[in-house]
Amino acid sequence: MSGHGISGSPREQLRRQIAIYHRKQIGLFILVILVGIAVGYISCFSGVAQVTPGRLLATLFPKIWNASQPLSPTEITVLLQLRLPRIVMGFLAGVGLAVGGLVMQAITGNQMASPFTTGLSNAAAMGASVVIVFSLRFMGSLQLATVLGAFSMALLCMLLVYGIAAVKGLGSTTIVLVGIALNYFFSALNAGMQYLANQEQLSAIVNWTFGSLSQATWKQTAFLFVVLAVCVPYLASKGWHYNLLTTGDESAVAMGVNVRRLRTVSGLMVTLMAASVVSFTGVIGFVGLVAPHIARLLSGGDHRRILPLSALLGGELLVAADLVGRTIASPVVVPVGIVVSFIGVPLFVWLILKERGGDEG
Amino acid sequence: MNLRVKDLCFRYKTRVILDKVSLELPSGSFCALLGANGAGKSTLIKCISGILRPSSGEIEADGEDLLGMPQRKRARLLGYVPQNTQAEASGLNVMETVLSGRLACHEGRLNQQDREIAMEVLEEMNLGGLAFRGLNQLSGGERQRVFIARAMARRPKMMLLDEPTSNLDLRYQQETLDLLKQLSVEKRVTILAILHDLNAAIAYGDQAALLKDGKIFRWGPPEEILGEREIWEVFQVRAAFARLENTNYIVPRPWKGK
Repeated sequence: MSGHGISGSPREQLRRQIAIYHRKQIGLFILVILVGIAVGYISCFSGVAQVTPGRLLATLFPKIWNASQPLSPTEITVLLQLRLPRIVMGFLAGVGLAVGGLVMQAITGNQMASPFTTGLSNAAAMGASVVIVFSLRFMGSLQLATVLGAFSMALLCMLLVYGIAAVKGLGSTTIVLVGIALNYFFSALNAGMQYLANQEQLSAIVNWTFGSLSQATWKQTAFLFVVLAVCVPYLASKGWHYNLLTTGDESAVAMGVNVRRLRTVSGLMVTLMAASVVSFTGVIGFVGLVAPHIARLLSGGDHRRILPLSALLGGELLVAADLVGRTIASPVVVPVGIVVSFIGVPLFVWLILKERGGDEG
Repeated sequence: MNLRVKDLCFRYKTRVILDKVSLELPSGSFCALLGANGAGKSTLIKCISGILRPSSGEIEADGEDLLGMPQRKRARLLGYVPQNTQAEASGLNVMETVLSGRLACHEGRLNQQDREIAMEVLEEMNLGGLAFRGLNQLSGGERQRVFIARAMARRPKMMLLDEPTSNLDLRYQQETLDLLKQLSVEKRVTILAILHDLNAAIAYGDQAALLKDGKIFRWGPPEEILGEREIWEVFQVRAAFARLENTNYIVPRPWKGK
């Protein structure tokens, strides 16, 4: 055996440290997955309809499990058509927003960035407002038209941000600044729409901007799943590139990363995911900001790890927030966007204080 | 790796930063890039490493056109160490940072060999004990060594270093320069390093390029080109020379009043 292979040599110690580090990270992932399963389980069996695990088993296996009363057809409909799509939509929306937030933070070099940094939320809200105020229909449906209105405005916003930023070489600061400018622009247009709206329309617009999972359907969920299935694996495959980007554009270029292409494609994918989420659920803030920060606190800065971790945490946070919203004032349902902000704002302020404390200490 | 730079020009808008710079570095040579602030040293290194696109001129590596080379292929040949990094906010630890240096070699899919190389480099740079320390928990000097280690991790044929010793204390300045010299002598890695310490340039450099206003003012063995007149012309500093163990040492003369 060579000198490096001797037990207790610096190399051996380093190998052991690496093995311990990997075991810790795997343990963390298992824990987060278990928390996710627990949140999903509780969410599935909580709500106005008395759907319990025993009654579900009695419905599925009436011959084996006959201790409880089977679910009625209405309760089955509540479970399959209302509660489950809501939970799955919540999880997927959380995944999309959290991954989007993390990637935006990486490509803008700004840890305060979120999927909505490029003004997308106000653009989507403006699109929804136009549909509501002018009572537009798509295939006879106001809801479908609202979704399409929000989605198309979010995409338009994305094209404007990246189109304008491209003139200045797609620098991270330019993207953020153009995004802020367009945020104000679409916010003003949205306010204009609200000014034109009557009482009923205004109520509908405000309701939309709260962010809610109550309208979730399996079709919407399937659409969002397809969008995430295209975007998330691509973004996850760029973990090393984001790692290099966080140490500076110049380093990344010298290491062989095509920074301009990475920033453009990643930014477009984030926008596509966030636009899809927003158009179905309304504006749900803070998940995209808080989930990546919690992932960083738990696991460090390696994007190969914190991207999937952020995805899980974002999904879990949103499902948990929706669970709280559905049960805290039952039968009244508090929109998930409001609950997430109530949970997210104090958490985020605490994180900022914790980070600042570290800086100044 | 033989490097040949010919008539390289770089303009930022209308301002000329590099004006027909020509250099030739044979494989395994250690070249110190010297000059006053704003002379164009960093720009020259960035042009060679592909960060900046020169306005005109040629750069060849072993006879192959470096400017037309695919970015990833060029990244495999060259190890670049920047002057400044935003490492504090990255959240990466030392091991992850050094491993990221292997990216150009393996498209992001690391194998055991990559990990072994990273560990080897950590040992070479005396960083083994800091492997799982976050970059934001390191001193400026430790961080500097991490970024040198990251560039070394790809086992490049040429290292381009922008003030590699600027944040290091005396011990690590010497250790780092010793290591770079060892790389150039034993592994034939060509070194192009911006140095502000003229004595270090004399001690370690086989060649030195003295830049002034974007042009090569002097080019040759450092001891020969760093005379009193050259130092005055480039830095506006009066220098004295002391000879010790067959080596010339440059001592700037401090202002002593009227």
